Amino acid sequence: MDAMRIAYPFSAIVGQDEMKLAVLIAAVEPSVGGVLAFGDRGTGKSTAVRGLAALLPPLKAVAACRYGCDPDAPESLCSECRERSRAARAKTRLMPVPVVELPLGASEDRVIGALDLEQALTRGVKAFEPGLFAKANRGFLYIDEVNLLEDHLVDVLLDVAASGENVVEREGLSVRHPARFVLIGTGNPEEGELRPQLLDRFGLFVEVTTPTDLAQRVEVVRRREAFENDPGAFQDAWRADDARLRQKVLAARGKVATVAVSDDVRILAARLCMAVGTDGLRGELTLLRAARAVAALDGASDVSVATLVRVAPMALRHRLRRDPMDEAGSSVRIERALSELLAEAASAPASFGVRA
Amino acid sequence: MRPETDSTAIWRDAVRAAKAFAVAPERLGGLRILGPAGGVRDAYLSLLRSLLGGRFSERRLPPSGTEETLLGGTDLAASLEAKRLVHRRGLLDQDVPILLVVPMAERVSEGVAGILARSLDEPGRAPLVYIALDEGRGLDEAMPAALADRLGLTVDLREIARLPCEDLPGVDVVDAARVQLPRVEVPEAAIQALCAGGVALGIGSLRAPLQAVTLARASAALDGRGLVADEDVAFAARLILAPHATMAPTPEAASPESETDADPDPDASPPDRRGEEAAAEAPPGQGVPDMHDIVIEAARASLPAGLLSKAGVSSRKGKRRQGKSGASRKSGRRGRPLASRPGAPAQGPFDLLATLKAAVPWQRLRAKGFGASRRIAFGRGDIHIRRYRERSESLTIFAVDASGSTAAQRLAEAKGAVELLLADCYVRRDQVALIAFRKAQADVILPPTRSLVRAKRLLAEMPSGGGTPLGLAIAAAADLADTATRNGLSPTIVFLTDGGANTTRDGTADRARAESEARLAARRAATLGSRILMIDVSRRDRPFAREISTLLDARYVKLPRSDAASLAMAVGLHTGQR
Repeated sequence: MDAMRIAYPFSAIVGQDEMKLAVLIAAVEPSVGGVLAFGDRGTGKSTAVRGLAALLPPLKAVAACRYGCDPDAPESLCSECRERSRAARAKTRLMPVPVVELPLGASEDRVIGALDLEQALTRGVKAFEPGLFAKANRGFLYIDEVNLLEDHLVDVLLDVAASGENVVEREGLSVRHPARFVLIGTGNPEEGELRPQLLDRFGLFVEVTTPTDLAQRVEVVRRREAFENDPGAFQDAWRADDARLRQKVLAARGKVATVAVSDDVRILAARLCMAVGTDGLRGELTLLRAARAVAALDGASDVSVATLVRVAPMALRHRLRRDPMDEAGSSVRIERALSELLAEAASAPASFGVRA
Repeated sequence: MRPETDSTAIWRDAVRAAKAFAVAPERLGGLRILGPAGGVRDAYLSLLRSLLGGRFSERRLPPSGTEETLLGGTDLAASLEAKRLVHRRGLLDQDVPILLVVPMAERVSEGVAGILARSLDEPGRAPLVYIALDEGRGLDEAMPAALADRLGLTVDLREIARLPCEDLPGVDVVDAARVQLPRVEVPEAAIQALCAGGVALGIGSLRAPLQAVTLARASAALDGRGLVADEDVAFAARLILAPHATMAPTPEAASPESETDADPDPDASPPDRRGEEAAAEAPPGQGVPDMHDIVIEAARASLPAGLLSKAGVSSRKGKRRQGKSGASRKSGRRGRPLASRPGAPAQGPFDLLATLKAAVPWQRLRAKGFGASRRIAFGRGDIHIRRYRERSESLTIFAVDASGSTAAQRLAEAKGAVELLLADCYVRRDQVALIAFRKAQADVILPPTRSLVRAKRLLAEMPSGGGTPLGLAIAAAADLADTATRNGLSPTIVFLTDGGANTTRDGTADRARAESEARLAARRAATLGSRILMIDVSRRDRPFAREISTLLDARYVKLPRSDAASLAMAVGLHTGQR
């Protein structure tokens, strides 16, 4: 009972393959730009994020830094750390990969940081009190019910997530600090939808549904029950699997930059985006980035068509122009377009050389 | 169909639930108590306290609790006093195991509920459990879903008027069970039965079956058994699955035909539209049907009454909310800025400039009191906070006549209009609700929502046919508008009818009485001051419709040949949204 709660092992999560793959992609290639998971309650969305963060090795950080700067990455240091590193080699500490949850009612002050009231009032010093963005640096920022969040907060969130930097210009403060995090937003479409303008700024979109297969539901409950009954033993049982996965993620991180993308695959990606009518180039970029991350996770040295097909729904389904009255799911439209393109390519191999 | 549901049996279950909760509080997360404040609830709470035996230190969430109350923040007054940062700890920001009592849980804001819910899941924190006191009446006054989903164990004390004279259990039984708990074996069939029960009752979340398994385990441990038995499973189904059910396990109470079926497991076929039926039936092996039956029977016996008539639709026959003080949502942090006001920073964003302005005139005077040690001397009264005026969200309530032969067409129009308006709601963040009236009822088919997905699903299930109980419809719409106003929305009611009233509240076809009922309801509804639009879709001219709309203080529009688009346009024009 006094034992602190431990995170449920990532490898022990039953089903939810798309959600797991999406957070793994984001962990390997943070530049895909966040994951939006829409679906039912109680399906283990936050379990997946927490499990993944617990599985990743602890981060080395500058001991005195409020933003948890990485001493080995001089280009990403905050201004304070830059000052410090000029003076001497900074002391370091190890910290677990942060998972910060943004509560629904959070104020802007709390999220982006604000004037440190205490210092301002008692000592007359204009100081910055870091917010949740600072805490989430180098980790995950998890937002439950992002669709219910105030729009202006979502704007700020997406902006910071995309730029990797939090710029505060308010109350006479002018602060900028690194805020590189993987944004994970979740929500239940039954309770309201996200503004379409915001949708496509998330890199990946996964639909999380409660498992409808009874055997799978039973397995979820059985494992979770076993975990709660004896968390330590359960963790031990899954330690080897988690360790394997950790190696896979670390290897993929090192490798992702060198994964090659052939022209065939690039053309297929472009044609797919044109066929389903996504706006702008963001869809293609994300699609290719995600595909490279998956290839790296698989240990492949280049992106295959199969990999592209695998990530296409989650990278594109929220970017389709949609008619609010149109019932047909966007995943269906993507799959349809994909199979048409692949069939076309198969019938005319000379022009594209694409094979499924 | 319902076995003993008298108050003694309910109380016995409640006491057992308290014991089971005390055995595994951290694993169950919390307990939700339904019922009004009073002797029974107080007695139950003190029973819980004694069973938990001081393992948790109890806190109570103040009704005005904010994020800061929960998570802590700067204690400004003390900081100024001490001239250094004084941090006030939040209710959840503690190192000791906490039992947080959440009074009036149905009024807890989404934001606070979100924090409460997330804190339960957070790894690496001291144990935390909640007791939510839910005094809600009806569907429109429910605890926020994020919290309700996590507090599986639900004890309903509403039916208990007096405390049965029974010996209350002691702590020793709990202590013994706590040791036994991890050793209890849960048979595969029990897990399967509880999972399948969840599916049959339309519970999507997997938390409910998980907690049900835990509760069954605790129940077995209480009896000192090493194996979960049928009675434990039934107990868990009653207290966790039934309260979360969103649909009855068989359509329209139990249809008698299904009983005569040769299938030994009639209840295993839930009225599931999504094809989970097959999944629920196929996998259970031998011996499972028994336990599965037990789950369904147990859950059915304690299902909320409304569910048995029609799944997912709240029937509001004559049900009126008690007048509660009209707390609306907090003046937000967005919108048009208003003048700053003195106040504590917990009530709104701090306004430094206004605070300085307030303090400056007093500096000379205060310098004497404080000495010259400070550059600027602040007092508590100087602190100003910013305020904003928020445009309140609008809610359009459609009250649609679903009676008679032309109903199908009119309904289709109304549905179309609702969907068109909803399609616009992405941008405007406005909400839509729909009431259908027919026979002797006025049902809220679509509770206030801005979700297109949900609206479509609910609209598809709308029934029609029968007489026109206009009075009932006006009352129901006014009721919903009243609730919405309390929740900070500004409602507009749109009646879509042919203007005739021919059915009374109790369902008799008596035009004269029906019309007088409608007049009475209209006069009462007019006092609410909501905007009302009466759309008359009849071909003939009916003076009665005009009369009612005058009484309602409504705008009267005659649209004999309306279609969805023109309807949406009329509403838009009337509410000034287009």
